[in-house]
Amino acid sequence: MQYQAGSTAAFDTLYEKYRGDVYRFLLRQFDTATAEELYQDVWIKLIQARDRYQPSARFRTWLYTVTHNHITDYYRKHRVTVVADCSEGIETRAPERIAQDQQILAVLHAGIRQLPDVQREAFLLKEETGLSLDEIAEVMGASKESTKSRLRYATAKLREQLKGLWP
Amino acid sequence: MSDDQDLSALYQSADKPQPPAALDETVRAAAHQAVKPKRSHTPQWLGGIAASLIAALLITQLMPTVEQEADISIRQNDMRLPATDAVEPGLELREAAPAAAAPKSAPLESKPDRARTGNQIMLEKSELKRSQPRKKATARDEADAILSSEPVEEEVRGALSTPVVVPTSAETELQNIIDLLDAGRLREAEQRLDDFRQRYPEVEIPETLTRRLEPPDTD
Repeated sequence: MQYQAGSTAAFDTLYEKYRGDVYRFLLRQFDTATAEELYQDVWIKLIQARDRYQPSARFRTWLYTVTHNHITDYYRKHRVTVVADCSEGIETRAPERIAQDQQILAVLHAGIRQLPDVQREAFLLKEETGLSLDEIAEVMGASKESTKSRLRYATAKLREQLKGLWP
Repeated sequence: MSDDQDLSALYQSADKPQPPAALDETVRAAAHQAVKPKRSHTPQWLGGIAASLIAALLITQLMPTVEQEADISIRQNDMRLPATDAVEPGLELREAAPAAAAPKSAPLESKPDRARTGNQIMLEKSELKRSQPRKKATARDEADAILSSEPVEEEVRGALSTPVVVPTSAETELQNIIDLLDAGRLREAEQRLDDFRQRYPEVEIPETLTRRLEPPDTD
Protein backbone atom coordinates (compact mmCIF):
# COMPACT_ATOMS: atom_id res chain seq x y z
CA MET A 1 0.00 0.00 0.00
CA GLN A 2 1.45 3.26 -1.18
CA TYR A 3 -0.07 5.14 1.73
CA GLN A 4 2.08 3.08 4.08
CA ALA A 5 5.08 4.52 2.29
CA GLY A 6 3.81 8.03 2.92
CA SER A 7 1.83 8.74 -0.23
CA THR A 8 -1.05 10.98 0.73
CA ALA A 9 -2.29 10.84 -2.86
CA ALA A 10 -2.77 7.08 -2.47
CA PHE A 11 -4.87 7.67 0.60
CA ASP A 12 -6.97 10.29 -1.17
CA THR A 13 -7.67 7.83 -3.97
CA LEU A 14 -8.74 5.11 -1.56
CA TYR A 15 -10.77 7.50 0.48
CA GLU A 16 -12.59 8.83 -2.56
CA LYS A 17 -13.42 5.30 -3.62
CA TYR A 18 -14.84 4.07 -0.32
CA ARG A 19 -16.07 7.11 1.56
CA GLY A 20 -19.66 6.95 0.30
CA ASP A 21 -20.08 3.22 0.87
CA VAL A 22 -18.69 3.33 4.41
CA TYR A 23 -20.78 6.35 5.26
CA ARG A 24 -24.02 4.79 4.05
CA PHE A 25 -23.15 1.49 5.65
CA LEU A 26 -23.07 3.33 8.98
CA LEU A 27 -25.90 5.73 8.25
CA ARG A 28 -28.32 2.87 7.62
CA GLN A 29 -27.58 1.51 11.06
CA PHE A 30 -27.31 4.58 13.25
CA ASP A 31 -28.66 8.09 13.54
CA THR A 32 -26.72 10.69 11.57
CA ALA A 33 -24.67 12.01 14.49
CA THR A 34 -23.60 8.55 15.62
CA ALA A 35 -22.94 7.45 12.06
CA GLU A 36 -20.68 10.44 11.48
CA GLU A 37 -18.86 9.88 14.73
CA LEU A 38 -18.30 6.23 13.90
CA TYR A 39 -17.33 7.09 10.35
CA GLN A 40 -14.57 9.38 11.57
CA ASP A 41 -13.43 6.88 14.17
CA VAL A 42 -13.19 4.12 11.59
CA TRP A 43 -11.03 6.15 9.25
CA ILE A 44 -8.81 7.33 12.07
CA LYS A 45 -8.38 3.70 13.12
CA LEU A 46 -7.43 2.78 9.58
CA ILE A 47 -4.90 5.59 9.42
CA GLN A 48 -3.37 4.57 12.72
CA ALA A 49 -3.32 0.91 11.74
CA ARG A 50 -1.87 1.49 8.27
CA ASP A 51 1.44 -0.16 9.17
CA ARG A 52 -0.33 -3.35 10.17
CA TYR A 53 -2.12 -3.66 6.86
CA GLN A 54 -0.95 -6.71 4.95
CA PRO A 55 -0.96 -6.20 1.20
CA SER A 56 -2.05 -9.82 0.84
CA ALA A 57 -5.51 -8.87 2.11
CA ARG A 58 -7.85 -6.86 -0.06
CA PHE A 59 -8.13 -3.34 1.17
CA ARG A 60 -11.91 -3.38 0.95
CA THR A 61 -12.13 -6.47 3.14
CA TRP A 62 -9.74 -4.95 5.65
CA LEU A 63 -11.66 -1.67 5.64
CA TYR A 64 -14.97 -3.35 6.45
CA THR A 65 -13.39 -5.67 8.97
CA VAL A 66 -12.15 -2.61 10.86
CA THR A 67 -15.59 -1.03 10.49
CA HIS A 68 -17.34 -4.17 11.67
CA ASN A 69 -15.07 -4.43 14.71
CA HIS A 70 -15.65 -0.82 15.55
CA ILE A 71 -19.41 -1.22 15.34
CA THR A 72 -19.21 -4.31 17.56
CA ASP A 73 -17.21 -2.30 20.11
CA TYR A 74 -19.73 0.48 19.90
CA TYR A 75 -22.61 -1.86 20.60
CA ARG A 76 -20.74 -3.37 23.47
CA LYS A 77 -20.07 0.00 25.03
CA HIS A 78 -23.37 1.70 24.42
CA ARG A 79 -25.82 -1.18 24.45
CA VAL A 80 -27.75 0.48 21.68
CA THR A 81 -31.33 -0.52 21.35
CA VAL A 82 -31.67 -0.30 17.66
CA VAL A 83 -35.39 -0.87 17.73
CA ALA A 84 -35.95 2.34 19.69
CA ASP A 85 -33.89 4.30 17.18
CA CYS A 86 -35.87 2.82 14.35
CA SER A 87 -39.23 3.67 15.76
CA GLU A 88 -38.02 7.23 16.27
CA GLY A 89 -36.99 7.28 12.64
CA ILE A 90 -40.36 6.12 11.53
CA GLU A 91 -42.28 8.42 13.81
CA THR A 92 -40.43 11.56 12.79
CA ARG A 93 -41.40 11.02 9.23
CA ALA A 94 -44.78 11.94 7.92
CA PRO A 95 -45.62 9.24 5.40
CA GLU A 96 -48.59 11.13 3.99
CA ARG A 97 -46.34 14.02 3.04
CA ILE A 98 -43.73 12.09 1.15
CA ALA A 99 -44.05 10.37 -2.17
CA GLN A 100 -44.95 6.71 -2.32
CA ASP A 101 -41.49 5.49 -3.32
CA GLN A 102 -39.89 7.59 -0.66
CA GLN A 103 -42.26 6.11 1.83
CA ILE A 104 -41.34 2.64 0.73
CA LEU A 105 -37.67 3.42 1.10
CA ALA A 106 -38.24 4.94 4.50
CA VAL A 107 -39.96 1.78 5.60
CA LEU A 108 -37.19 -0.29 4.11
CA HIS A 109 -34.54 1.70 5.94
CA ALA A 110 -36.51 1.53 9.14
CA GLY A 111 -36.89 -2.20 8.64
CA ILE A 112 -33.16 -2.53 8.18
CA ARG A 113 -32.57 -0.83 11.48
CA GLN A 114 -34.97 -3.17 13.17
CA LEU A 115 -33.07 -6.22 12.02
CA PRO A 116 -30.85 -8.07 14.49
CA ASP A 117 -27.32 -6.75 14.41
CA VAL A 118 -25.73 -9.60 12.50
CA GLN A 119 -28.51 -9.74 9.92
CA ARG A 120 -28.50 -6.01 9.43
CA GLU A 121 -24.77 -5.90 9.00
CA ALA A 122 -24.75 -8.81 6.61
CA PHE A 123 -27.47 -7.20 4.54
CA LEU A 124 -25.73 -3.81 4.45
CA LEU A 125 -22.36 -5.33 3.67
CA LYS A 126 -23.96 -7.03 0.73
CA GLU A 127 -25.81 -3.94 -0.50
CA GLU A 128 -23.39 -1.15 0.28
CA THR A 129 -19.94 -2.58 -0.09
CA GLY A 130 -20.07 -4.93 -3.02
CA LEU A 131 -18.31 -7.63 -1.03
CA SER A 132 -18.84 -11.22 -2.08
CA LEU A 133 -20.49 -13.76 0.22
CA ASP A 134 -17.08 -15.14 1.16
CA GLU A 135 -15.76 -11.71 1.94
CA ILE A 136 -18.79 -10.83 4.04
CA ALA A 137 -18.26 -14.03 5.97
CA GLU A 138 -14.60 -13.12 6.44
CA VAL A 139 -15.38 -9.60 7.60
CA MET A 140 -17.97 -10.82 10.07
CA GLY A 141 -15.86 -13.71 11.23
CA ALA A 142 -18.60 -16.16 10.39
CA SER A 143 -18.93 -19.16 8.15
CA LYS A 144 -20.24 -18.80 4.65
CA GLU A 145 -23.31 -20.83 5.52
CA SER A 146 -24.26 -18.79 8.54
CA THR A 147 -23.71 -15.60 6.54
CA LYS A 148 -25.99 -16.92 3.86
CA SER A 149 -28.53 -17.75 6.52
CA ARG A 150 -28.33 -14.27 8.02
CA LEU A 151 -28.93 -12.72 4.65
CA ARG A 152 -31.88 -14.96 4.03
CA TYR A 153 -33.49 -14.05 7.34
CA ALA A 154 -32.81 -10.37 6.79
CA THR A 155 -34.47 -10.39 3.39
CA ALA A 156 -37.47 -12.24 4.71
CA LYS A 157 -37.97 -9.76 7.55
CA LEU A 158 -37.66 -6.77 5.27
CA ARG A 159 -40.22 -8.21 2.94
CA GLU A 160 -42.49 -8.62 5.91
CA GLN A 161 -42.03 -4.93 6.76
CA LEU A 162 -42.83 -3.87 3.23
CA LYS A 163 -45.89 -6.00 2.90
CA GLY A 164 -48.74 -3.97 1.54
CA LEU A 165 -46.47 -1.19 0.32
CA TRP A 166 -44.25 -3.00 -2.06
CA PRO A 167 -45.04 -5.99 -4.19
CA MET B 1 -33.40 -15.31 -5.95
CA SER B 2 -35.26 -12.84 -8.17
CA ASP B 3 -37.06 -11.62 -5.04
CA ASP B 4 -33.67 -10.82 -3.52
CA GLN B 5 -32.68 -8.96 -6.64
CA ASP B 6 -35.90 -6.94 -6.50
CA LEU B 7 -35.27 -6.00 -2.92
CA SER B 8 -31.70 -5.15 -3.77
CA ALA B 9 -32.86 -2.97 -6.65
CA LEU B 10 -35.29 -1.21 -4.31
CA TYR B 11 -32.54 -0.58 -1.82
CA GLN B 12 -30.20 0.73 -4.50
CA SER B 13 -32.85 3.11 -5.82
CA ALA B 14 -32.59 5.16 -2.67
CA ASP B 15 -30.52 8.30 -2.52
CA LYS B 16 -26.89 7.77 -1.82
CA PRO B 17 -25.93 10.21 0.88
CA GLN B 18 -22.31 11.22 1.07
CA PRO B 19 -20.29 12.20 4.10
CA PRO B 20 -20.30 15.92 4.83
CA ALA B 21 -17.40 17.91 3.44
CA ALA B 22 -16.23 18.83 6.94
CA LEU B 23 -15.96 15.16 7.83
CA ASP B 24 -14.00 14.47 4.66
CA GLU B 25 -11.69 17.32 5.51
CA THR B 26 -11.10 16.02 9.01
CA VAL B 27 -10.28 12.52 7.82
CA ARG B 28 -8.00 13.68 5.01
CA ALA B 29 -6.17 16.05 7.33
CA ALA B 30 -5.63 13.26 9.84
CA ALA B 31 -4.34 10.97 7.10
CA HIS B 32 -1.96 13.56 5.73
CA GLN B 33 -0.76 14.50 9.20
CA ALA B 34 -0.07 10.86 10.05
CA VAL B 35 2.40 10.36 7.20
CA LYS B 36 3.89 13.84 7.36
CA PRO B 37 7.56 13.52 8.21
CA LYS B 38 8.06 14.70 11.73
CA ARG B 39 10.32 17.69 11.81
CA SER B 40 12.45 17.37 14.82
CA HIS B 41 14.17 20.53 15.95
CA THR B 42 17.52 18.82 15.73
CA PRO B 43 17.93 15.91 13.37
CA GLN B 44 19.87 12.95 14.68
CA TRP B 45 22.80 13.47 12.36
CA LEU B 46 22.99 17.10 13.44
CA GLY B 47 23.11 15.98 17.05
CA GLY B 48 26.10 13.80 16.22
CA ILE B 49 27.89 16.66 14.54
CA ALA B 50 27.14 18.94 17.49
CA ALA B 51 28.51 16.35 19.91
CA SER B 52 31.67 15.99 17.81
CA LEU B 53 32.14 19.75 17.68
CA ILE B 54 31.71 20.05 21.42
CA ALA B 55 34.21 17.25 21.96
CA ALA B 56 36.70 18.92 19.62
CA LEU B 57 36.18 22.25 21.35
CA LEU B 58 36.73 20.72 24.75
CA ILE B 59 39.92 19.04 23.59
CA THR B 60 41.29 22.24 22.09
CA GLN B 61 40.42 24.13 25.26
CA LEU B 62 41.70 21.56 27.70
CA MET B 63 44.93 20.62 25.95
CA PRO B 64 46.66 23.97 26.54
CA THR B 65 45.57 23.85 30.17
CA VAL B 66 47.07 20.40 30.61
CA GLU B 67 50.25 21.51 28.89
CA GLN B 68 50.30 24.60 31.01
CA GLU B 69 49.97 22.57 34.17
CA ALA B 70 52.82 20.40 33.02
CA ASP B 71 54.85 23.54 32.35
CA ILE B 72 54.14 24.82 35.81
CA SER B 73 55.20 21.56 37.33
CA ILE B 74 58.44 21.66 35.35
CA ARG B 75 58.96 25.31 36.18
CA GLN B 76 58.58 24.66 39.86
CA ASN B 77 61.09 21.88 39.70
CA ASP B 78 63.44 24.01 37.66
CA MET B 79 63.20 26.85 40.09
CA ARG B 80 63.89 24.69 43.08
CA LEU B 81 66.58 22.42 41.82
CA PRO B 82 70.09 23.06 40.68
CA ALA B 83 70.56 23.05 36.96
CA THR B 84 72.01 19.60 36.84
CA ASP B 85 69.31 18.10 38.98
CA ALA B 86 66.43 18.29 36.59
CA VAL B 87 63.59 16.17 37.76
CA GLU B 88 61.30 14.28 35.53
CA PRO B 89 58.24 16.36 34.75
CA GLY B 90 55.90 13.78 36.16
CA LEU B 91 57.85 13.42 39.32
CA GLU B 92 55.65 14.78 42.03
CA LEU B 93 55.87 15.14 45.73
CA ARG B 94 53.86 11.99 46.19
CA GLU B 95 56.62 9.97 44.68
CA ALA B 96 59.32 11.79 46.48
CA ALA B 97 57.90 11.85 50.00
CA PRO B 98 58.55 8.30 51.08
CA ALA B 99 62.03 8.38 49.66
CA ALA B 100 65.10 7.76 51.68
CA ALA B 101 65.90 10.12 54.44
CA ALA B 102 67.56 13.23 53.24
CA PRO B 103 69.45 15.99 54.94
CA LYS B 104 66.93 18.27 56.55
CA SER B 105 69.11 21.22 55.95
CA ALA B 106 69.01 20.88 52.20
CA PRO B 107 68.90 24.40 50.93
CA LEU B 108 66.04 25.55 48.77
CA GLU B 109 66.83 28.15 46.22
CA SER B 110 63.76 30.08 45.32
CA LYS B 111 65.63 31.49 42.35
CA PRO B 112 67.64 29.27 40.08
CA ASP B 113 71.35 29.75 39.97
CA ARG B 114 71.35 29.50 36.33
CA ALA B 115 70.83 32.59 34.35
CA ARG B 116 68.32 31.29 31.94
CA THR B 117 65.92 33.42 30.06
CA GLY B 118 62.17 32.92 29.96
CA ASN B 119 62.39 31.81 26.38
CA GLN B 120 65.11 29.34 27.22
CA ILE B 121 62.99 27.93 30.00
CA MET B 122 60.10 27.50 27.65
CA LEU B 123 62.27 25.85 25.05
CA GLU B 124 63.84 23.50 27.52
CA LYS B 125 60.50 22.58 28.92
CA SER B 126 59.04 21.82 25.56
CA GLU B 127 62.04 19.73 24.68
CA LEU B 128 61.80 17.99 27.99
CA LYS B 129 58.19 17.23 27.36
CA ARG B 130 58.84 15.88 23.91
CA SER B 131 61.74 13.67 24.69
CA GLN B 132 60.88 12.77 28.28
CA PRO B 133 64.49 11.92 29.03
CA ARG B 134 65.17 9.46 31.74
CA LYS B 135 67.67 10.97 34.06
CA LYS B 136 70.09 8.80 35.83
CA ALA B 137 69.03 7.43 39.19
CA THR B 138 71.37 9.66 41.13
CA ALA B 139 69.76 12.85 39.94
CA ARG B 140 66.40 11.49 40.82
CA ASP B 141 67.55 10.38 44.21
CA GLU B 142 68.96 13.80 44.88
CA ALA B 143 65.76 15.38 43.84
CA ASP B 144 63.82 13.04 46.08
CA ALA B 145 66.12 13.86 48.90
CA ILE B 146 65.67 17.57 48.45
CA LEU B 147 61.93 17.32 48.09
CA SER B 148 61.51 15.01 51.03
CA SER B 149 63.05 17.54 53.39
CA GLU B 150 60.19 18.97 55.43
CA PRO B 151 60.47 22.68 54.77
CA VAL B 152 60.78 22.04 51.10
CA GLU B 153 57.96 19.59 51.20
CA GLU B 154 55.74 22.14 52.88
CA GLU B 155 56.69 24.75 50.39
CA VAL B 156 56.17 22.51 47.39
CA ARG B 157 52.90 21.26 48.76
CA GLY B 158 51.75 24.84 49.17
CA ALA B 159 52.93 25.68 45.71
CA LEU B 160 51.07 22.74 44.26
CA SER B 161 47.90 23.50 46.13
CA THR B 162 47.93 27.05 44.79
CA PRO B 163 49.56 26.63 41.44
CA VAL B 164 51.13 29.62 39.81
CA VAL B 165 49.37 30.04 36.54
CA VAL B 166 51.62 31.49 33.93
CA PRO B 167 49.50 32.68 31.10
CA THR B 168 50.62 31.51 27.74
CA SER B 169 50.59 35.11 26.63
CA ALA B 170 53.81 35.89 28.59
CA GLU B 171 55.93 34.87 25.65
CA THR B 172 53.80 36.96 23.36
CA GLU B 173 54.14 39.90 25.69
CA LEU B 174 57.92 39.55 25.68
CA GLN B 175 57.95 39.26 21.93
CA ASN B 176 55.85 42.42 21.73
CA ILE B 177 58.37 44.26 23.89
CA ILE B 178 61.18 43.05 21.63
CA ASP B 179 59.19 44.22 18.64
CA LEU B 180 58.78 47.64 20.24
CA LEU B 181 62.53 47.81 20.80
CA ASP B 182 63.15 46.79 17.22
CA ALA B 183 60.84 49.57 16.16
CA GLY B 184 62.85 52.01 18.26
CA ARG B 185 60.00 52.70 20.67
CA LEU B 186 62.22 52.49 23.74
CA ARG B 187 60.02 54.33 26.21
CA GLU B 188 57.00 52.28 25.31
CA ALA B 189 59.04 49.09 25.59
CA GLU B 190 60.24 50.06 29.05
CA GLN B 191 56.70 50.78 30.14
CA ARG B 192 55.52 47.46 28.79
CA LEU B 193 58.37 45.67 30.51
CA ASP B 194 57.46 47.25 33.83
CA ASP B 195 53.90 46.10 33.37
CA PHE B 196 55.18 42.69 32.42
CA ARG B 197 57.28 42.43 35.58
CA GLN B 198 54.25 43.26 37.67
CA ARG B 199 52.03 40.82 35.90
CA TYR B 200 54.53 38.00 35.54
CA PRO B 201 56.90 38.34 38.46
CA GLU B 202 57.88 34.68 38.23
CA VAL B 203 58.97 34.86 34.61
CA GLU B 204 62.55 35.71 34.00
CA ILE B 205 63.22 38.49 31.59
CA PRO B 206 65.52 37.36 28.80
CA GLU B 207 68.98 38.77 29.23
CA THR B 208 69.05 39.98 25.68
CA LEU B 209 66.03 42.09 26.41
CA THR B 210 67.28 43.55 29.67
CA ARG B 211 70.60 44.36 28.02
CA ARG B 212 68.88 46.26 25.29
CA LEU B 213 66.94 48.28 27.82
CA GLU B 214 69.95 49.19 29.91
CA PRO B 215 71.18 52.72 29.31
CA PRO B 216 74.25 52.69 27.10
CA ASP B 217 77.62 53.18 28.75
CA THR B 218 78.62 56.75 28.57
CA ASP B 219 82.21 56.05 29.38
